[in-house]
Amino acid sequence: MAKKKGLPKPPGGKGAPPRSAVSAPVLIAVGVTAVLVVALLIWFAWPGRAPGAVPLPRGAGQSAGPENAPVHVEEFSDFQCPYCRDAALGPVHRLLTELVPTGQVRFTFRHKILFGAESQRMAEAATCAGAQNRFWDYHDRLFREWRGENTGYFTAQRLQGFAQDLGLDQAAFQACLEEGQARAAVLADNEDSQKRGVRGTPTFFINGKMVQGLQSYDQLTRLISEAAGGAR
Amino acid sequence: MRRWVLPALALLGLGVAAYLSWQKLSGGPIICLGGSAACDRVNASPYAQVAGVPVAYLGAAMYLGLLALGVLAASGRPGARTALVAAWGASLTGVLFSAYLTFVELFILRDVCQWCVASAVIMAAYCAVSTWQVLTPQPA
Repeated sequence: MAKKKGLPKPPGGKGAPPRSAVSAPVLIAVGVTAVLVVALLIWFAWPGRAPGAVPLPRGAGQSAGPENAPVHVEEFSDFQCPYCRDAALGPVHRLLTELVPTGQVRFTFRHKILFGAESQRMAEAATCAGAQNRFWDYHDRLFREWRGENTGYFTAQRLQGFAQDLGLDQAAFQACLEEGQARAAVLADNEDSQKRGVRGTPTFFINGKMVQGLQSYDQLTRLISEAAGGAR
Repeated sequence: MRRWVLPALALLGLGVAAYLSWQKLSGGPIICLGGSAACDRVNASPYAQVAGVPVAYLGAAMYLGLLALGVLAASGRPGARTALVAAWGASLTGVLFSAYLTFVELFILRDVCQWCVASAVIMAAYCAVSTWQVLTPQPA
């Protein structure tokens, strides 16, 4: 609250008398509004705190949901595949946050390397995050960062940065990536995909039945319901 | 001349925010001193968005608004004083949010993006100048 007495002199104040500075109540009202707006912005900006945000499952490896769930959905996917991205951030995200918590569905992500070395590196990084129980957060992060195929964007440094953002154990993640600790698991998934006749991504297996291509959430839930009916 | 300081600062800030927005859209690496990794990490982090909208876009929108208000305030037309108060309020919002983002950079991400620092400094300068103008009686 400034006193007029101490205010600077008006610039070039000749002629008509100067208008007074803005009144204190107006300044206080504007200032309080600014503080409230920022508080609201921070509320919405804080990760996972926005209204309706449901956290992704946490747990070891690339599966979520109980092992004895009546329906097991497997997805073969490549982190650089655009349709896999659409699946991951849409229907798969909903499955993980809406259906898996009910205990009716177990969901497993399997690696299918379609686009070479960069896909392989991303798959290994995600598996390394899974070793620290954060596979799904890292999975979403990779797909959110999608830049196209083999753009060179997903360098080891950047993959490490994502791990840092998630608060993973940096040293363990780096060792996992540099020493290729996840390589065998990724290659085993890829080999399995070939044995099971997976040619493109995403490919789903719902209680063992192959479903090729991107599916909507409604399509997936319908297939899951059918599989659950068959499992009874 | 001094009354055009606000539009000039807004233009400068708009340049920074537009660059970061463009890099967000195109997916290209952000050019930073000492390598782009830190800037990329900051701008790709979950903290760099508000309800799904990238902070860079919000920054660009904010500077556009500050530019418009700054020009109106400098024009001396009817409503100039109201525009100046609005510009002050908006820039105060910008400064407080920039302070939050800087806190996130320093203590959560532990990465500092020089472009974000530049934007925070410009926003602080805009707020300081507009505060001075708001508190200064103007000629009729």
